[in-house]
Amino acid sequence: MRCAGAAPLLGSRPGELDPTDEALLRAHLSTCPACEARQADLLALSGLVQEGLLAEASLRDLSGLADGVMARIPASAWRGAPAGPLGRLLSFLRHHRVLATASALAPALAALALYLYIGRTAGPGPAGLAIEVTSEDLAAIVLETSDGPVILVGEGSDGT
Amino acid sequence: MRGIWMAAWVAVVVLACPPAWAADAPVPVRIRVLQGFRQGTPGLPPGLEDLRAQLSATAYVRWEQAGEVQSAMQPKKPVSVPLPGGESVTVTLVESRPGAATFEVSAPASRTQSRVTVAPGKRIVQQVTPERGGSAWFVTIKAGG
Repeated sequence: MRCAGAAPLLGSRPGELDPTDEALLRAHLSTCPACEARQADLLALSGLVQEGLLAEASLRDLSGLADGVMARIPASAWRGAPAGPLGRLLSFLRHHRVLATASALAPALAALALYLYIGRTAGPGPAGLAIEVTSEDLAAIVLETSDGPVILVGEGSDGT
Repeated sequence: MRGIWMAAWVAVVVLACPPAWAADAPVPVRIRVLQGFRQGTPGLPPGLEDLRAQLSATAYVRWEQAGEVQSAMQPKKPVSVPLPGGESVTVTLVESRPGAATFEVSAPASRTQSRVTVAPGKRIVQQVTPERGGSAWFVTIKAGG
């Protein structure tokens, strides 16, 4: 093997080359000081990079990485994760959206209907108005007019 | 889906709230004290023209206004309306709801108590003293000012 053939193999990691290439490279390096020096430089550089990355990583606190990642995953991404009745209910609603929507709107519509019903039955109108008059001594008469009731008290049957 | 649930429950809360809110809201009320006479020149002062339909239904022909109270009445909180001569009438807003207000009028002079529900814009005219010397005292109550 010559230097041109050995050059692509320089810097290879242990076990990365097939046995034949590795044997040829080892034989060439034993006879070529230049390629041997180049090989040494590449291995040293690879070691420095590896050590630098490890040092940089060791400066960081990654103990909460797993929890942080898990916390950022929305609950909706879990498939069947909540166990128990609540989980089954959520799963059911997720797969029956129309029914869930209808059940959610039902109380609102019922409240609206009740509100409108009460407003209609308790609203203004002669039938809905109530007048109660109590008098200990005097006779009381209620006259209904278009503008409202007139309540008169008096001893006579005419009310005034 | 979560938005639909939220919207539904917000709708329930909003729809359920107005009656309770309206029940506690102060109601502007105008109370006037009138004296009616059986004798005299028939007619109404200009300030009482809005009462013509009700006052003309009585046997009193001449009218004078003696006092007026305007108040933002709270339910269950009585308002005392003084009458000339030291007597008074107590007016209480019993209940207020959309479309109707219920008043209670207590007139010790005539030992009369009334509870009347009227629509907004309608008016209560009530005689609060027995007739003496051809005249009697009245109060008019109008919700809504």
